[in-house]
Amino acid sequence: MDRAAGPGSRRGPGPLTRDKQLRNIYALGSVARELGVTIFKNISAGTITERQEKTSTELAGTWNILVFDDPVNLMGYVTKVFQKVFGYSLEQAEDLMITVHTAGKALVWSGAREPAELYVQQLHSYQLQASLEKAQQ
Amino acid sequence: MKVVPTLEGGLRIEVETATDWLVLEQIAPDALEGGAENLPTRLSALMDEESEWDEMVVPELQDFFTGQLRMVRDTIHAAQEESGDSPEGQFLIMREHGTQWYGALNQARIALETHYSFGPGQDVTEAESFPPPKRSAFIRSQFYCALQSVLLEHVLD
Repeated sequence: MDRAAGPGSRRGPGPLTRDKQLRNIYALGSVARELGVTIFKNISAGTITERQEKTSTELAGTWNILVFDDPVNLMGYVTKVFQKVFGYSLEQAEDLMITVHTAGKALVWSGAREPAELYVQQLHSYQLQASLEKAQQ
Repeated sequence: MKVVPTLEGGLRIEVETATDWLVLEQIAPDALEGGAENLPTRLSALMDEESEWDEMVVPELQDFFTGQLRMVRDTIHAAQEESGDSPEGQFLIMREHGTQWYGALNQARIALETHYSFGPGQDVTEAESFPPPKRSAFIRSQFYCALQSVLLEHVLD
């Protein structure tokens, strides 16, 4: 029997789950990018083998979020997602939804890279196909 | 099957026949057998390498989507057990679970419509000429879509 694991014993925080590891690395990566510093990683192997440089200039500037049409999502749902994620009014959200539906895609938000990534992550969690592109200067 | 909005902002699903249970039971298998595990990758297909989406976000989305299916499956199984041998039974879709239900139904529809190459605009009369497995899948897809519409109207914020 593992005595250290017995009742009343004190244990450390325990190993990080893979999710927590990824979240921590992601958070670290975000900070590093903001500061324009170099980070090292190779997540799949769990060891530091790859040197990856990310300068603030690469990711600086304005980024556009594009949402693409798909035949599955209901139009009312897409409208609600735009309202929920971006806080748009019903009219704004409906206009964007109609653009997505008729033009095949729409630019739904522009701004800094970091919040843009978080928005895209939310859009993906609602099963909307979205991507980022750097705005033309 | 009856779908009834509740005063709490959710839905009560009243199951009346064994076929109703069969259709409800198919939500998670339809999604999984149709390759729902690839959905996060498909959604992320257009993300650039800078974002490291495959490493950072896709696994989390995978867990999230699997959780939606698990919640739906467990709710249906619990209701079935409660109903015992009777074909009739009921369960609630709580308001706070509306988005998860919608997401699970979406996964099932995406999987079916991708696998059988039909869309929401498909004419119902065309379905009569489909071979049995495709016709059955089409009817389930229409049911999932109808339930999504009710969720959209009565449950989702």
